[in-house]
Amino acid sequence: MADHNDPNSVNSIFSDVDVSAADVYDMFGYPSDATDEEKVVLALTFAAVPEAGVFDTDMLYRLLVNPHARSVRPAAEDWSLPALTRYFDARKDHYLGQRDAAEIRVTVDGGGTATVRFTGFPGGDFTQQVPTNEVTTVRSPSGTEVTAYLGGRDDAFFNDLTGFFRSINYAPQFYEVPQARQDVRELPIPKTFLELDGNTLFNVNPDIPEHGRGVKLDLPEGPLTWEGDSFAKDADGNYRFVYSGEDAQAGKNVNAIVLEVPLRFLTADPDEDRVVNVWGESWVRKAAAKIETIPDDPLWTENPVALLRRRRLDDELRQYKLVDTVGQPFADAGLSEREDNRQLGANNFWLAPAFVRRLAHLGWGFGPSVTALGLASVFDHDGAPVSVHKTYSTAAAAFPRCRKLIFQELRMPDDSWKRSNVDIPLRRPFEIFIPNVCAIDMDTTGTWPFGRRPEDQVATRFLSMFLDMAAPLGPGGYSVETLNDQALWDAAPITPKTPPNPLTNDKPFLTTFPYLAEPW
Amino acid sequence: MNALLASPVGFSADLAAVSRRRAEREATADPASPSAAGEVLTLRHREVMLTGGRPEELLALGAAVDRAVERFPAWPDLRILRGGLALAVHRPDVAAAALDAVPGLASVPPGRVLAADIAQFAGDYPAARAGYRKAAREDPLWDTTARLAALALATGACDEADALYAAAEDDITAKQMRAFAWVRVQRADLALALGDLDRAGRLLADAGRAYPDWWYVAAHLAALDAVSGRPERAVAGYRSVLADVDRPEFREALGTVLQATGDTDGAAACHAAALSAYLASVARGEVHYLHHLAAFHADVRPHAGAAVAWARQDAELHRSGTTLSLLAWCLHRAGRRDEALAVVEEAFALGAGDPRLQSRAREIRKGGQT
Repeated sequence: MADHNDPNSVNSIFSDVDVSAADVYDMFGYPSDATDEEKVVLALTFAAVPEAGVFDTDMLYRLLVNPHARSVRPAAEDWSLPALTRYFDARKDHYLGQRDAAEIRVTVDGGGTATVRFTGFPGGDFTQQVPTNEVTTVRSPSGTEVTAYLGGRDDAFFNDLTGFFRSINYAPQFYEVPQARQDVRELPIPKTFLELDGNTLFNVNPDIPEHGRGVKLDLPEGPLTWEGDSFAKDADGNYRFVYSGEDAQAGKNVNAIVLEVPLRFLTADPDEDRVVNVWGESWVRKAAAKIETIPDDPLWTENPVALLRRRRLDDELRQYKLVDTVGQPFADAGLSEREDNRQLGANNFWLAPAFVRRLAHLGWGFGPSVTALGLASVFDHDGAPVSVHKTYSTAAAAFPRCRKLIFQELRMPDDSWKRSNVDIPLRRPFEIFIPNVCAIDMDTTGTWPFGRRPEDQVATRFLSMFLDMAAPLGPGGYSVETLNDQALWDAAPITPKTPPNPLTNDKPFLTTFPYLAEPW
Repeated sequence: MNALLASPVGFSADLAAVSRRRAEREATADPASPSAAGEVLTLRHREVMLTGGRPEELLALGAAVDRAVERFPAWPDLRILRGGLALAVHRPDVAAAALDAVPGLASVPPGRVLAADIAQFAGDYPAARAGYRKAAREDPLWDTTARLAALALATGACDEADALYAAAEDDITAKQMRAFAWVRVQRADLALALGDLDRAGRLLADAGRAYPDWWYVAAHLAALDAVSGRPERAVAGYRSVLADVDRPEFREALGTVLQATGDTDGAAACHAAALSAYLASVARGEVHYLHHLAAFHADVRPHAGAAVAWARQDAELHRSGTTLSLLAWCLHRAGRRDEALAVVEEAFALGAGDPRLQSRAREIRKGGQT
């Protein structure tokens, strides 16, 4: 009997399925303010699906933890691509050598009870069931107490997401992009902090104020490019900021896993291992694991690569598929272009050449707009008067342009980030984003980039990478907080006069565990 | 309280959810929006396929897509949808025209997949393989892997086919149980083609547990029962399928298993109804039932001349391993062995080699009229 349900029909029968519970948002990590002993706060947030406080029972979340001593990095004078490559190679060995990385694994059943498994820590392996949406204490076999909260919270991310997408001309935020046009995401228009004169696709349209804030237009026909040669200015001669400073996440909830863990549970040598790397992963249950299926495993002979990959996983993890990872904010959206096959978490070393090419691409866009504002750009854009759309096919070609950006120390506004007298070097972009982990320095407050505290305005700090931190600017010079300074914007020839992103969260964070605000 | 527990599980709930969503979208869709039009039509397509994928509904939907295309000629999703609908009713010419209508469409993954589908339909297996592989590199999706599996099967690489189906399956999550069930059914069909009836049964049982109450699984279970010498169960199975999906090929299958139970009157009625539907379709100028007519006259109600005529007409539209295999079989049944052998060789020359072609080739080479 012939059959019309052949593979030609598959794509339409089986549409994309919403798996947004797998969308991990943020990885927070910082030394706790606890006075009884040294502790680390770890918080993974993800989409509130099915709803805030209710977890998807097909999901598995992992927090992978890797404490170690501070790494030795290239000397300041050795700013070469080979030195960078050697550094990445050394770091790669460090991470990939630990296949059995310590982890905290969470699943939640239909009754709202979470199973939390701690494995690979010197404090001992153990599993405990805890209720969701309550602060609880779990005890390791050695008696260590870990404070835990798994449940709904207010979204702790506060930023002008629309402004960010406007800055990179990201069409899906503003337009209904056809499924068949996967090539139409970031359009080939220069990235910029300032509106481009005549960029009708992305400049703010006063007639449609909600465009990009929920309202999407159909993607226009015709060239999706920009042919202008200057930044846009208003009648008063001010540039138009692509950012509004408004909080796109206001009033939104997430689900979260928040833990406060003694450092001595995470490492046997807390005096030496002063940096705690952590990253989060979401895994969704495979269909085959949902039912009892036939036992044969054809992968053994026909797909040995897939089998080897699976064999590195334990029995439980083999039942799941890795969907998303999060370590550093904007490592995905800003640097990895959101590609599914780049969800590598700490193992993103092979992206190093792409990282260099991407930074050079971003620099050609953002650099001239930084300069136009009268600020010092760290990117060498040859004095371009307006942002340029330029891509590179090789890291070697891109590297000279962004070498200074990659290696510059990201200055802090003051010394309040230090919690001890330890001499801690300032961090540089290359060591922040590769590996893609939240690297918590226990001798700091854990403010970004020495970890990430909920109150950090990381979206704006990320943008500060494009400033020349060595250039003079007022009494304090440039720092990761420069673009968060309202006074700077008050004096700049720009409207609206606002920092790019809100300075505080829509709901105040708590001073006590679980620190993230109550859900709406 | 737990919304997940209330989410659709199985065919009936899924169909209700899709129908509800389609109705909601239809009620609120902006008539000036191509994306809204594409979404509504895609939901209609999904609903049509869930309710049986009847050709008359696919043709009607194709006409609706054509009307949308007139309003939004450059919207690629509509063209991709149109192409898929056209192939489902054996119109690769319409599918190719849809693909060619938007510049650059054939160079993005969904367009590459459609182009490869067209190539496979036309028997150009190397082009199909290259297209699927390129699309899979650019945008790895389980269904592209499943297409490669079907292509491997069409070209006789049965082990590779099952491995590719397994790889596709490994990429399917608990949120896609229908997809999982579909792949298990394909693997069951493969096992059945290779004569492993027990394995086919286990795979179909998996499919049924994964996605309960789906007529698609029930139809394949009934076919397995028929092959396994359980005609009474097959009769019950096909009757339940027909209660959900009244397609003439299911009526034909029911007639055949009724015949096996000794119910000749019932069988004759079913066969007559199926034949009537096939002929009515052809009378309307449609081509998707030509191969059913050929097979019907080759094996169910033998009429060698009619079988060859229908099979030849189908093969003239597209010379693939499937159409040539059937034409060869019809020629063989008509006692035209030399011609049958020549057609078999033509199919092999294309690279075709699926188990049914292999089996027919063996029979034809043995000689004699079966």
